[in-house]
Amino acid sequence: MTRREILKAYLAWSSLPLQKRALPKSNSRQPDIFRDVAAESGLDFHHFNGATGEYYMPEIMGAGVALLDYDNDGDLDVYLIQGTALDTRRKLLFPPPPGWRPGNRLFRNNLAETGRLHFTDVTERAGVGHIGYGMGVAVGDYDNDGYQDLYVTNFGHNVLYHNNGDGTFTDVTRQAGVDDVRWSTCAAWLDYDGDGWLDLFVGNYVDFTVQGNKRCYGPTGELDYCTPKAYQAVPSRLFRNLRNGTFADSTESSGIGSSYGPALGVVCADFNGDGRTDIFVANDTAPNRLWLNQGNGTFRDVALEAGVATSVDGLPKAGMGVSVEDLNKDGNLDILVTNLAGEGATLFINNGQGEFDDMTAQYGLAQATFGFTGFGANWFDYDNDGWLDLFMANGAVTRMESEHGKPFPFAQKNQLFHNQGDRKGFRETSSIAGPAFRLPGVSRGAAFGDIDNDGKMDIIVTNNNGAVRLLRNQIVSRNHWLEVKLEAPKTNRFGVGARVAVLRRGQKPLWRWVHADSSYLSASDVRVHFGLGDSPQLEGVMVHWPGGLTELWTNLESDKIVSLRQGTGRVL
Amino acid sequence: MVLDAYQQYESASLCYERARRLDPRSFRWAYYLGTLRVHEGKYDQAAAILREALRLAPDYLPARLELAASLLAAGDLDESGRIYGAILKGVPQSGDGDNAATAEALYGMGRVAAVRGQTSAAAESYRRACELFPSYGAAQYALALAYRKLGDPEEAEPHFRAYEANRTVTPPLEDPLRDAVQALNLGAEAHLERAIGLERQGKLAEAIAEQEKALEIDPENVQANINLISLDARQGELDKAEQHFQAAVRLNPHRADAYYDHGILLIWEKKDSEAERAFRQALAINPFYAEARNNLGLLLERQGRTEEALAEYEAAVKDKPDYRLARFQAATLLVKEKKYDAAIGHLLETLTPEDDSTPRYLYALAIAYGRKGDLKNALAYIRRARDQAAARQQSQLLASIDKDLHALEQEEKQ
Repeated sequence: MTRREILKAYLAWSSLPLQKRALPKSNSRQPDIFRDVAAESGLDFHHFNGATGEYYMPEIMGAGVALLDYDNDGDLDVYLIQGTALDTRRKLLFPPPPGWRPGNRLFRNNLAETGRLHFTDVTERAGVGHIGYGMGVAVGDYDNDGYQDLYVTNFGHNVLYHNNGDGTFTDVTRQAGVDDVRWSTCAAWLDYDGDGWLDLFVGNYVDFTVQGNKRCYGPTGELDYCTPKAYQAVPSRLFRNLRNGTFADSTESSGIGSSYGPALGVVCADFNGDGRTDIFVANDTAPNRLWLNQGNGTFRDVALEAGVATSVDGLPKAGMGVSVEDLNKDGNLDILVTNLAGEGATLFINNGQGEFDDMTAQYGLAQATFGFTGFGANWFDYDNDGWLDLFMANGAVTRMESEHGKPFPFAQKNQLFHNQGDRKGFRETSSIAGPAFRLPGVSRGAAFGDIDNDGKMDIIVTNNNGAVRLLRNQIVSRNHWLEVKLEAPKTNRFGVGARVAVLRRGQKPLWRWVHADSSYLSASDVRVHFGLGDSPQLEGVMVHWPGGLTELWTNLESDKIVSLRQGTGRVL
Repeated sequence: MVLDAYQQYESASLCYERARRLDPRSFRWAYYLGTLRVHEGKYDQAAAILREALRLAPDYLPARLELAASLLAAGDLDESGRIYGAILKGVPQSGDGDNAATAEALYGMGRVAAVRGQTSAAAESYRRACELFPSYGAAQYALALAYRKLGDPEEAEPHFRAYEANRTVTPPLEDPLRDAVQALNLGAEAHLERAIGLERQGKLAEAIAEQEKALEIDPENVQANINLISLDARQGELDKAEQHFQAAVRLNPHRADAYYDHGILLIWEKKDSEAERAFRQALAINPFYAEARNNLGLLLERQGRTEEALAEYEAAVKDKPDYRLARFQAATLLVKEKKYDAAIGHLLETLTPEDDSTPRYLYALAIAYGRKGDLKNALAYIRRARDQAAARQQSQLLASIDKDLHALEQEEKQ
């Protein structure tokens, strides 16, 4: 059987149950929305935190995951970040499972080749198995060769892997000049100077060292993980791409270094609609920062004035993950920050004038998220109804009373929320989302993308000291969809920062933006996904490219993954 | 109550529920249960329980405020506003405690109005809350945001600044029932927390007493020993401070902050070489310890090792870019070495935020410009320095500034 025949067979097979499900019997039970298919698809990864009972802070913070198409074969591959032992003199509390291999792992998706969702561990061949105390990952094509590169953050030296385009990567950290020896957490690629070459933001956390570990205690006197307040925050970094494979440290000249907190989450986007990429940083126990790009190589923090530094009561929360999208279809980017249990997530709604209102309670997310320590999170449309829903990966950072006596007392359940539509807020749907949502874990990173190219958004979730979960979306829905991949011929090849709108007759444009950052320590699919509701009709797709060019494509069909190449649309 | 005091809220809830069943006419069990539901973010339940509690003791202000806040969080704006309104009508303005309750109720009224989209009414409530209790951080923040929403950023600005100075400060509302719970926490950590609060208020003797209580309970508490190094030293008890340092490193020889505090103690005792060793020890444990680098730089500078000192200041700035003192020290050395542009670069970064140090930094910037031969900037900055030093009544600095201002003006005339 040829590859095309295999694919055809797969498509025929996969469409059958869809047709069946489209006409459910009146009393038939709906299948779970998500099903964990990590094990059956060959995604064999167990996070190792190296815990020894000394409660070293990095143990409880990692780690991230990336969804990227590293080999440009049209399907999403998975890169997972791994921990290691922080203190080899001590006995491990949780030794890794048999067959476990150290270092970060790259899993190649065989979907495009075989028509079947299955992964092969290609770490050794690809050369991306860095062994360090891994935290997060950022994905971006920094050298404009059309292949996405990887930046790995660590507690310790960071690593930049250049994608060679032949299935292998090269560690170019030293030549590129983007290392940072501090405890780095989040990272993001952005083109802040508008030259078409991706620059790099690296979020740093606190000045913890293993040797200088402080012993912190919970309310009942038991040894526990410290809050970041036990240490001092260390500054984040900004690196400007010099277009020759090297970077200049612009932390000082850009102003980014002038104000900082313990950074855990970052999203780079144009928050005030001036065409320049800004930076939002979620800080742990300190006010968030919103760095507005001044257009002259410098940034100005306006978080306080914009109303996003803290929640409505003025109290800085323990910001972990962050997600940014146009939640209410008004064309403005809204921000969600996940926080500690006892604080709940915070939703900032953008009024279009660079000002935000904390509307967490009004959107129904205050009480529902209050008891959870949220990490990875993202807005995504899981039922393709055109409204962005929400997933939150949860897990505590200090001993939980309800988990007393358990060896790793930090497990919580993850949450799914359904957007009820036009300003009607969110309803928690975790109870019908599938068994994976009933299984507690210490979840951290989460990345989002259509991993089986079926038009439905899937989720990959990492668990600290646990196995990765691949939550395949199997919702039964007649709703339509469109996925858009942007291609630019020379610079910023994946169109990072571009805004994409689906135009439909009689409806408001549906806006998304191109990015891989957001969530917690993770990188998501750079393609943009649109749920279109029950109507397949499209008027066109409009793209505002970074740099100002706007193009329109018509004659596009829904329920497809389309590539839009810069210069092939009608210029507006 | 003991479980509650030790933040074991789930177990404490079960106990309070049982206590309520056994003694349904007691206000306190219902009140405690209601406050725990607030801790859990279960505002609907909290409101129901607090409402029942208030039937037994209708005048207990903390419970009424908690009920109104819970209703607001649960989205029952009408009822929340009604309760806040009733509190405002009923509180006699006689003492600090009453002011605190009134300020909280006004803030709550403002929140209700803000959620309803009545921004002007919200601003008015917040304004009155801030008038009653100017260091009420949340109210200052809310007022600033309300002015911003009303299109008046200039009016918002001072309230943002007032908020930044008092982020977590709330009116001191008396709540004897909750105090009774807190008093049951006899753990060392509780004493440490109280000590930190007292130190922030400048009550050093009381803070020391709390730290010592922590040590009585847990003689091996490293943190209490470290905290007492600086507290005792600031009280002039240098021997005691030294003893606490010795105890701290005996218990844990890897605490960078212990060596750092000891370094400062040794400087006070004029033992510079030992202090240098202490800061180096701190840096060996935590190479990102900017304050230790800065102090090491100072000691090196005293010995005339200016190149090494400058390297330490620069490293401190890299580790902590908003560390104005290290920038100032670096700039001072750079001026001496005639590297004026580098010095000016550092000093320009010291100008925000404005505080009592700002006149000194402006003055240094003026001097750097003056030495560089940029008379225009030198005069502009020295005049700003003079204005600010005068406004802050820094007479000694003012005298120095006046001398240099005169010289620069003479130079300008020539």
